[in-house]
Amino acid sequence: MPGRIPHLWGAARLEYTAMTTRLFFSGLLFIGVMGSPGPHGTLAYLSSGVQSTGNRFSAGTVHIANSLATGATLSMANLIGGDNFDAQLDVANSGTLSLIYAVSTSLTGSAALGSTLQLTVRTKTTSPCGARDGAILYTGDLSSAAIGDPAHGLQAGDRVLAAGASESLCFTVTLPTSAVPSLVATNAAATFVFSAEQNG
Amino acid sequence: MTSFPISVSRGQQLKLALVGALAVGVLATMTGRGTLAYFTTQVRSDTNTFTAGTLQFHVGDSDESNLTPAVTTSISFATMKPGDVAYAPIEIDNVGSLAAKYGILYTTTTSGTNLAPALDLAIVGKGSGTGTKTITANNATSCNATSFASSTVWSEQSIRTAAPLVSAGQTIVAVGSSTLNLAAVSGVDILCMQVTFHDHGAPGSLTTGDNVYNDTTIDHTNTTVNFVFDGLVSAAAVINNP
Repeated sequence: MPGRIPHLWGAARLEYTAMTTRLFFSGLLFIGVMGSPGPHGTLAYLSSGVQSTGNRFSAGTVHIANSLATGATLSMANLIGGDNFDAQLDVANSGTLSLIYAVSTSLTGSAALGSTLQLTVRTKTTSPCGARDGAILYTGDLSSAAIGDPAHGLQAGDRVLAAGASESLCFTVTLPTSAVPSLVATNAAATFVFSAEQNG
Repeated sequence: MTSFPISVSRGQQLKLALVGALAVGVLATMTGRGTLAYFTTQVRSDTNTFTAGTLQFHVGDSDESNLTPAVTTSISFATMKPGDVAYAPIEIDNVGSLAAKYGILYTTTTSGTNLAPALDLAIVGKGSGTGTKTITANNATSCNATSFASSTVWSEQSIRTAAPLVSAGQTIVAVGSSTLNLAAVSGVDILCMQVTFHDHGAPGSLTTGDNVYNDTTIDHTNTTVNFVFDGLVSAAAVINNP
């Protein structure tokens, strides 16, 4: 006969054991509740919130494009003294930001020919380039041709193009009649570089 | 005296015992009957009312006011370039009956390449409910380059100093530890948001430096910023009625 519960047997003993177990777990639960953080009330709160949505920022773009007008060419072969030609070059701002651009020239081939050929760049009016009536942006040796300054910022002579705008330039190239015979059979190629940056 | 023996069976003994007990109970009841008569009186404390407070914010910006839960497009810039700066005011109103504090966080989304890392965000505020209830022309115009750094105009200068936006979003002021307080009923704070397209260096080529964000596709590099202002009651109250 067990010492502490001598009068309990069978089902009665099972009930006693179950009650003991319940008391044990009840005790643990009580201790657990009492052991939770002291300032229990601070866990209760009201909250609210508002938002500012749809604040959208997008980067603009600075893109410049150029193209020769239909039928125009900037190439000419078999030049002789006194030859000249006109060509229209369209410059477009295909970005979303106003831009400023400058033009510089790099030359390959005969430097002598490059410095002999004369280039005049004009803005195009409503007349064809052949009218040569626009404002002169550059006139001088082909090899030194430049409009504005590609350095950062707005420099004297720089061209400004609003977003989506375009303009046409007229290029007139002339081989002076004073060209020396030593230029015979020489050739030169000029590359016009349009450097653009954001305006402001 | 002559005694007569009485013979009582066990059953009769039990009956006698029950009758005796009943008799004792009846006598006991009769003994205390007079104490059932008494005077009474009563007083009451009525109408002890407890009402839940309310915590509700409204928000406004330069073209919307007193809205909940959100205003839209408080600050935006469609074609930003390095060096550009945008300013915009946002007003937070506490229209609830409880004093509150609030926190600030933001998230970003993009429909292309996220511009967030190229942008700096700075925030100043009027401070602790000292702003005007509605964003007026004066409040709106003081959120600009001229006044942004003025601690006279914007007393809360340290809400957020200029720092890059994080694409994943960020908590600027955690509401739990916030000191941005709004009085009950009419508390208002006006914030001035500054967003700057900061310098990434002179382009060494068409794809380096600032040109990293000069996308070939128009409007492809963008970010949409959503600001969230979470409110919380300032503190639990304990009222001791004397």
